[in-house]
Amino acid sequence: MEFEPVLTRNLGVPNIGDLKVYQSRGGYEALRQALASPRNELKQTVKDSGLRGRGGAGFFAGVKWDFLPADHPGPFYLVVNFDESEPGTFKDRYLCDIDPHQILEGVIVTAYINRIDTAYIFIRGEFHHQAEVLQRTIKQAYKEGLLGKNILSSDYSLECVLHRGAGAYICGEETGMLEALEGKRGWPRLKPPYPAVAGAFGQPTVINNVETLCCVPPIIQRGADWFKSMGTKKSTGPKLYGISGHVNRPGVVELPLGVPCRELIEKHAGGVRDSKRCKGVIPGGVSMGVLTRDELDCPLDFEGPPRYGCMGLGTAGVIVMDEDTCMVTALRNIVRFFAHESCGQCTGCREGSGWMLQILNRLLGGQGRGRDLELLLDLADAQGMAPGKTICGLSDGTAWAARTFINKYRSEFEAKVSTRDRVAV
Amino acid sequence: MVWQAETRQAPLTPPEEPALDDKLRRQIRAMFKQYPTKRAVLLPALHRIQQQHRCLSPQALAEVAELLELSPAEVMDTASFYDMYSTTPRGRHVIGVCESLSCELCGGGELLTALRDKLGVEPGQTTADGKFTLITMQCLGACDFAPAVLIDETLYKCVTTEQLDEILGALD
Amino acid sequence: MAKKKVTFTFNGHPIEAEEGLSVLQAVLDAGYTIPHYCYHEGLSVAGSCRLCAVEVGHPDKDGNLKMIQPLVMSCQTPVRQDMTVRSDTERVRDHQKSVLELLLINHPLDCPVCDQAGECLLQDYSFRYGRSISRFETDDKIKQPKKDVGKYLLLYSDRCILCTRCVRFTREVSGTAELAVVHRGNKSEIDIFGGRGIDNKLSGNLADICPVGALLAKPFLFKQRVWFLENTPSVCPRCSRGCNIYLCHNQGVVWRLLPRRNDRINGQWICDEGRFGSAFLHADERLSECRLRRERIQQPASLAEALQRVGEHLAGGQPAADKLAVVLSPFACLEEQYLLSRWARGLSAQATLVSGPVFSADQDETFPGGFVIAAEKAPNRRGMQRVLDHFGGPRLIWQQLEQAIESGAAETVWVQGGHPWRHWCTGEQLALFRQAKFLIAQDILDSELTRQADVVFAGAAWAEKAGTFINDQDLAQSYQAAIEPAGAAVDDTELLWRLGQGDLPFDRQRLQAEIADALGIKGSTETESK
Repeated sequence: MEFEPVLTRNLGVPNIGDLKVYQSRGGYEALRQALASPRNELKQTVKDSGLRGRGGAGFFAGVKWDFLPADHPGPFYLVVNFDESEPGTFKDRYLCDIDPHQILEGVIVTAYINRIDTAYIFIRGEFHHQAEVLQRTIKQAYKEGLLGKNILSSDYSLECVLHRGAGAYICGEETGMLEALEGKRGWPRLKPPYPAVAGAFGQPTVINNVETLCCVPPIIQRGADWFKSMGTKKSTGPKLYGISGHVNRPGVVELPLGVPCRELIEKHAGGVRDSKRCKGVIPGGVSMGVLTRDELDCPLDFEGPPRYGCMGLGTAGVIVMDEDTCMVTALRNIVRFFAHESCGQCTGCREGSGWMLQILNRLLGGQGRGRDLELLLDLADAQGMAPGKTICGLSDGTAWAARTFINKYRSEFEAKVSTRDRVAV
Repeated sequence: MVWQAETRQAPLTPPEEPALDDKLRRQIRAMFKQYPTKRAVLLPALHRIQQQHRCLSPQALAEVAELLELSPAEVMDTASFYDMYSTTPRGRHVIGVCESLSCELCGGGELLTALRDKLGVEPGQTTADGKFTLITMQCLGACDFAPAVLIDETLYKCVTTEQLDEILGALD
Repeated sequence: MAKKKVTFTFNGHPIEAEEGLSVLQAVLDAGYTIPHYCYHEGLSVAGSCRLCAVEVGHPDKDGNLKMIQPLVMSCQTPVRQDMTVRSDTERVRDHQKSVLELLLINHPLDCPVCDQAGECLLQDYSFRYGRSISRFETDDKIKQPKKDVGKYLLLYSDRCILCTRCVRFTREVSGTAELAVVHRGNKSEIDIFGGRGIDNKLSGNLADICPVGALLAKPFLFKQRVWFLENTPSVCPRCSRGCNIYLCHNQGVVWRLLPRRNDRINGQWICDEGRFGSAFLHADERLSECRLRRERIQQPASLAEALQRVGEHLAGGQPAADKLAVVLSPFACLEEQYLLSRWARGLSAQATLVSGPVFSADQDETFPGGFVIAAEKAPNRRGMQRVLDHFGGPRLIWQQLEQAIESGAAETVWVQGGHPWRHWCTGEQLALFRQAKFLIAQDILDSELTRQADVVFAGAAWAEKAGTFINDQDLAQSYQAAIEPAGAAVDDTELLWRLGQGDLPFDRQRLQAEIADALGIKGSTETESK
């Protein structure tokens, strides 16, 4: 069966950013339908659909909403994670570029389901153009009664505020984002309490990624079974894959979850450019680790990459590296990113990432020392939320990248250890 | 370094006039109603100040602190955390070269070298005529257009070294 | 309502603790240790140094122990019934080694010139839990100059480990928020906003809570190695709050004051006025010997001579003693106030008791963290009042003394001083005392007042003697002498004992029991020291 695009259904429609055009394509019908339905039913539908977060962690969206305390008097907040900053990721930007009202509809429907009073769309500061577009979209929606008091003459009211970040990757982490929203440095909070219980301004808060929210209206309209008919058993629905690096046609493609990495590159991105061979592929943003060219059968769903030693699907931002790529340089690039973006709160990440960068720099300068690779792996082990070494998962990214690059391309790293030390070892 | 002591307590010279003009203050106050706390207005307020002043001067930080009922240190704490805010004056145009992986794979490094040569400055520095500030940026979320360059608020896509003269020439 | 207690084990030791308490605090309270930096009981939990990691497990449905896979931070993990906590596993030890190694990579290791050495948690923990060698073999340490950040404080940024205790203190306890973390990642540092130094009355606590040698108190800088100091528990005399302190002294000199924890009074803090206000102890103006006026000129005298002179003057019996006024000091301890009053009334039931001056601010100062600086700038006004109430009879307040002297009702005046500043008695009052026929000054600092006295008793300052203060909450707090009195000065209680009792052996315990009984004081408070 040919895959029918869901999130990119309006791709290329002229003036789709205009409300009238969006509505003529069936836009805001899901909202109308939702406003006429009991919230519990809607939430159940989303839960049944198996929709998992598209922001990186892959947590079940409906289950996350269930954590909101039912007896809380409010206010409830929705914070929309549009802080897309993971290198290799540009799908949310793309959604905003091709169909901004779709995002807003997802926001309003989700807000309705969760009795949200105010939705803050947290967009990364560098997305100047997209912020303008969204601001315009929000304004239009207010004017047409899609936001504000008594949406579409229902008794549901919602305020929506666009909040721009200011250049910090860590604000993509839920609680770092909340801190930034509250006017503080984006230091991730200790959990518990989780945002659903005490989030923005201490109130119960739902935080969802843009792409996740865009999946909600179609699920409401077409049902859980329809959604589950796409993808795999545990990874349901369509997914936006961003492809960049050494490919002929970089860009975003929408496919059912589970497409094999090789197929994505060969069929949907025009293959490796200049007819070169592929050397390695990052499956979902640089924090996920790397797949070698022998591992390209890896299905890109939530379960696939971990089977190949990677952390997960992440953001499904795929970066392709050709045979001429120096993997030490590539890892240095990634570690430099994480060292730059470390918020500085936890010792392991703050000091560890900087130290790792120093080591990689000396390896690249041909001054690597005999024990440097072991030291790098040791420092990787000193970081990460999963082993409990840090508050948030930022440094899991540093750790997984370092581990997979060094273990999978070890000889290339060893070659950078200075000749003298290599002899000594 | 133990023998050096940097005096951080010397009082600021009092300004002749406030750094934030009435219009800016009004704009900042107008945002209060969008959030349950005044402090939440800090990021948007700093954006507006920087847009108007091209940097966040200590005086501006102190004044915004007063507006939002914070201590100046708390404002500095937040402002210094984010890459987009600069406490030192920048040139008329800020050229940000993305240095993340996809851009580096597609020639971002060469682009940066070319810009260094053309402008005669290192990343973080401003040209002598005050026209350009060159900076490196983390992933711009434009990996499909690698290598990407953000000049002020405009994204330049798939930039080649050959295009640089034309791009720079078009900026006044 | 008492909270529910739960029992858990730490490295096999059973510990009982209140439900909801963090594992770290419960372990510390039980007398065991888990190394930690960012955690401080008086501040919010940051959970960022990651040093207090432990392994934790719970019994499953069948009662079998199930350990949780990731390490957890004991500072943010509440205790639970039947929980198993281990800090002695290889995984925890490796993690501690790794954190300590990372904290040292940008540390200057300048312990030989660092005041914190000897009480530095980076030193102590590295020794106990760290690696003996660092694998950081490079010269690229991040170096920063030290900063002058406040009246009393220097910030050695180089040595900082970014635990942020200081930042949280200024936001949560003093409420002044002068300190901030600036920048991020490994470029982060602690700083003030330029031109706005640390300006709050609790700033000295920052040097205490800094676990390393980053924030240091200027008055103590390079003064003493801490291992030479002896810490004697005491009570601060600068206001009627009576904060519990340690006097840290060596060879007869008090070098610094530190807070001693008492949750009923000062928690873990003291104010700067108390902390940095003890210089008078070793001032050049200290009275080091008694003096007598002979032929209109004051001359040094022994204590016996001074006592004898007072005795001779009042030997006239009733008429002279009727016109005796004794001014009690709010800086004197209860024992002194009591003995002086008892002596005066022993001579004559008509002797006047005068309450000495108490300098007072408009109101108590309460800080966001709950700390209070009392308005009354004296430690024992309440004690003085209790003594006056007990003895009854003719009593005056300080302002009424003038009339008593002018009218001739007070001819002989004994003034008890002990104020921590020299010229506590000035202007009109001073002129007034000139009119007294016979002036006896019992004080610690040479002043206009003591210079015009006929007899001067060189007393001991509070750090040099034992005593009891009653604070503004009516808590009686006893303290011990830390150092010897200056020169030939003597403990005032013993002095006044000799005045009244002659050669009867001095028995402090009996005296205290008598006072407690007379004044209805139910023993001195338990001071909770940690």
